Amino acid sequence: MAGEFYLIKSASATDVASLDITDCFNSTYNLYEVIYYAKRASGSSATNSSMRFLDSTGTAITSGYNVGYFRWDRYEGFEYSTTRTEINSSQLQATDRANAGRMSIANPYADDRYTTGYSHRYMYTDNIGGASRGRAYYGLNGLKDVQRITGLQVLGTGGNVDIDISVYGYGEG
Amino acid sequence: MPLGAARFGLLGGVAGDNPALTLIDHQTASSVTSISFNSIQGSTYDYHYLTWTDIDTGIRDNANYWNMRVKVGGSTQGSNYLNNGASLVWGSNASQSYKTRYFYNDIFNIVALGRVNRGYGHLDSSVDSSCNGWAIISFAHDSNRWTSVHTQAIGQSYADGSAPYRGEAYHASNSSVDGFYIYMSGYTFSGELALYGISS
Repeated sequence: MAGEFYLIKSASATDVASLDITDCFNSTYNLYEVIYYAKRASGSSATNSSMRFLDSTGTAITSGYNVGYFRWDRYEGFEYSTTRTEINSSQLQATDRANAGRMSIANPYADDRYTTGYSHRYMYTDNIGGASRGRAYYGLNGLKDVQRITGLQVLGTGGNVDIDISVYGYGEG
Repeated sequence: MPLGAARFGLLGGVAGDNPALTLIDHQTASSVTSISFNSIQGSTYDYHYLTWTDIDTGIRDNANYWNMRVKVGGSTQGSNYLNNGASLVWGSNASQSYKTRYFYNDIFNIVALGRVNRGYGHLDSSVDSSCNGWAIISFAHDSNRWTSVHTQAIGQSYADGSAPYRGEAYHASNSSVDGFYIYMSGYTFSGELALYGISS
């Protein structure tokens, strides 16, 4: 079983403001893989979805995120901030629009080193040069402070979302 | 000491956590124009992991595009895609003193998986090429969600034909996808492909 790829936990919900996947990080693994999909719920007016880390008490952390993303659509751009209140934020502007992503996360549970995430994500937006176009993001998600992370929250802005998220661990033993 | 290492030797695994990767199909391509995965077990797996190793066209060119389309009802779909990505490639002249970024913007008829520039920089078709990479495919079978693809690949050929690629895509349709069609634009190819189901 050494070196395998393990399913730790999955969670799904429809038409919700947010979904927490709790206690998915632990002392067993150092490196994790997250696959998630957030879709605008039927009848919802959600404009964005995003993600937050849960602290050692299972409470969403709402400040102090470092992000740095390469951004590709019809143009090339980047985003960088040390004051974000969430990570992996992307737009949802119509029925069936989704924010699909995967993220590797290193050291979330350790309380003596930085938690570092690297994500790919993709959205379809109406706000690029006056047209509807795809936009890809690649980059860093981290916290300014060293602290223990035990889970993740996916949330909508401006309305409810349908959420699917799975967390996997890379076995080292 | 890393936390994970602290668990080394404890039954070799983790109580309660199940291995998440299941090999669905492996195929060896030998000078073919395409490979299809027609049994993806979509009702079992929300997520798929597609890998390709040592993909070679045998043709010197700077436009060996490595692509994918989905199948619905067994038919390969040629539309309803959204695709953005970028590769790093050598310029188009023989001196090959520079590299340039090639952007895949709003591609609507394919999912780009990578690019292979066999021997392009040296104008030498005798050098081998090898495209290696992976894609995570989400909710292919789901009739209530678009199919999404996250992909990363390196098409390597000696030094100056190497082309790293990253890309994102949707099949922007709620159709239930039941197969994957992989091909190299305009060329035959050889290599190894594997499709895994990721348990969720």
